[in-house]
Amino acid sequence: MKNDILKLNKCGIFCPQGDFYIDPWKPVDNALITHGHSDHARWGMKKYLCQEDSVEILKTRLGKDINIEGITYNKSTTINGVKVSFHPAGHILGSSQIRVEYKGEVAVVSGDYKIQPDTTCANFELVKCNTFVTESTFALPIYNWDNEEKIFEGINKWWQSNAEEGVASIIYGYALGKSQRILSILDSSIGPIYTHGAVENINEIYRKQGIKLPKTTLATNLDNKTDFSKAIIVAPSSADGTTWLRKFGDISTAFASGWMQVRGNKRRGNFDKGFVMSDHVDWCGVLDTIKNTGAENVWITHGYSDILSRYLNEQGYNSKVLESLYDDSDI
Amino acid sequence: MKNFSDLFEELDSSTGTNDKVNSLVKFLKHNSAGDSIYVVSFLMGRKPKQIVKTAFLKDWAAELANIPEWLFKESYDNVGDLGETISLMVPQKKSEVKEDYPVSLKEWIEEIILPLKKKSEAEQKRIVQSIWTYLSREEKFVFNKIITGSFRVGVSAKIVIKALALFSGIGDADITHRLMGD
Repeated sequence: MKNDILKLNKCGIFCPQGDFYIDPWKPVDNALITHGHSDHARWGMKKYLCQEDSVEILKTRLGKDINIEGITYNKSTTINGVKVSFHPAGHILGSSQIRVEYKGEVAVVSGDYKIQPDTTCANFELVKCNTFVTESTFALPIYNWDNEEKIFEGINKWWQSNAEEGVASIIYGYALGKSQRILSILDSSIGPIYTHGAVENINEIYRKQGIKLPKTTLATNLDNKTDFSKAIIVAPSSADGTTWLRKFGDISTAFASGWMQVRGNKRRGNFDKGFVMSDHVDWCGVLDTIKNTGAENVWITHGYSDILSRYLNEQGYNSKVLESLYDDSDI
Repeated sequence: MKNFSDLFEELDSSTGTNDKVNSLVKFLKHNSAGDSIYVVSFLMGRKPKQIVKTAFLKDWAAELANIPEWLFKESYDNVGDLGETISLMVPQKKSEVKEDYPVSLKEWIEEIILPLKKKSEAEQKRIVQSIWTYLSREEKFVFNKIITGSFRVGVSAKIVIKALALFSGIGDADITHRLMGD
C-alpha cells in the first residue's frame, strides 16, 4: 500500500501529501480532531482543526489559548492539495468523521461513532469511501443494542421507583457526551435533577451551542440539608465510592455503558443497576456501516480490532489493524 | 416464559432479602399454582438435568447469528456463560416464527422443554432455533439456563420459605416440613 493517502506512524494517523495528522497522540504541527474526548483530542499540537461545535469543548479541556479553527459539517477545505471535510459521527456534540480525498482516492476516519439517534448531537451520516477507518469498541456479535426508547424508559422507571421509596438515584456516565445524553432523556416530572461539577461544565458548553437539556442544579455546594429523596444525580463514574456521595443520604446507583450488556460486567461493577447505553456502534451497526461505505479497505482501531479484522478478511475485505492509542473504555 | 424471566431479573438485580421475598410473593399472587410450583422447585435447586447437548447449541446459535465457529468461541470466552452468549447474539424476530408458544411456565416446561429430550437432533434443532427467534433476550437467557440444566439464582431456601409463608398464611416451620417431601 505504497500510495496510501493515510499512513500510521509513531505520532498517529498521518496524511503525507497534506502534511497533517488525524487525532494524533504525540505533539505535531497540524492536527485534525474527530471529537473532544481526551484520547482523540490531546494536548500539545501547534494547530488544531475540528468541527465548529468541538471548538469550545477542546478549549475547555486543552486550554483557552490553543491555536484552533472550526469548520462546519459537510464543507470542504483544501490542505496542501488534499480535500478535507468533516461529517457527523453521532458520538457526541461536534463528533466527526473526517473525509480525506486526493487524486480520486477517498479515505474516511470515523473516530468514535454511533448510528442511533441522539438529540444532543448531529446524527451519523454515511460517507462513501475507498478506505474506511473504524473503531471496534463493541465489535463482537454479543453487542447488539436494544431500541433506545426501551433503555430510556428503563432509566426513568428506575428513577421513579427510587423516588417513590425516597431513595436518591445516582447515575454514572462519562462527563462529556454520555451525561448530556442521559440528561436529554430524563423525565423531569419525576423529581429534581442534580449534576456533578464535571458534568455541569460540559452542560454549559452544550447549552451555549443550542442543545436542549433539562434544568439542572449543581450539587457541589449543597449539603445534606437538601432533600434529595426524589432526585436524580448525574455524575462521572469516578465519583462512585467517594465521600461526595454522602450528602445524598440513601442512594441507588446505576451505570450507563455498553459494557452493561454482559451480566459479569454488571456484577463486577458493583452498581445497583446497569443500563446498556452506549455512544459507540454495535456489532450489526459496524458491519452495516462498513458495507454501506462501499470501502474495499477497512482499517481498524481501538477495541476488538483483531477479531473484527479477521472476520472482515474472511468476508473478502482488505482489512488490517491500526495499533492506535485510543481508549475503548466507554465510561 | 416471560413471567419467569421477569421474576429472575428482579431476583437477580435485588440485593436485599426483603426485596427478594417481596418479588416472590408478588409472583405467587399473580400467577397460577402450576407456574408457582415450578418456580419454587427451581429456586429450591430442583431442576431438570441437561436437556440438549451444549455442542449442538453452539452450532445452532452460530448459524442463526450468521458467524463462524471461531467467532462464536471468541464471544463465548468474552461472556463466560453459554446461555448468556447465545441470548445476546441470536436476534429476536418474533414475526418470522409461525408457531404459537404458551404463556405459562408450566406449559413451557411440560409441553415443550421436557419433551425435547427424546427428540432427534434435527427436531431439537428446528424447535430450539424457532424458540430462540421467538423469545426476547431476557426470556432466551432463562430458557437456555433451563435446557442446559444450569439454572441458578441467588435465592436461599429461607427466602423461598418466607415468601410461601407470607403468601399462604401457613407458618415457616410447617412450610419447611411440607417442602421436604417430593
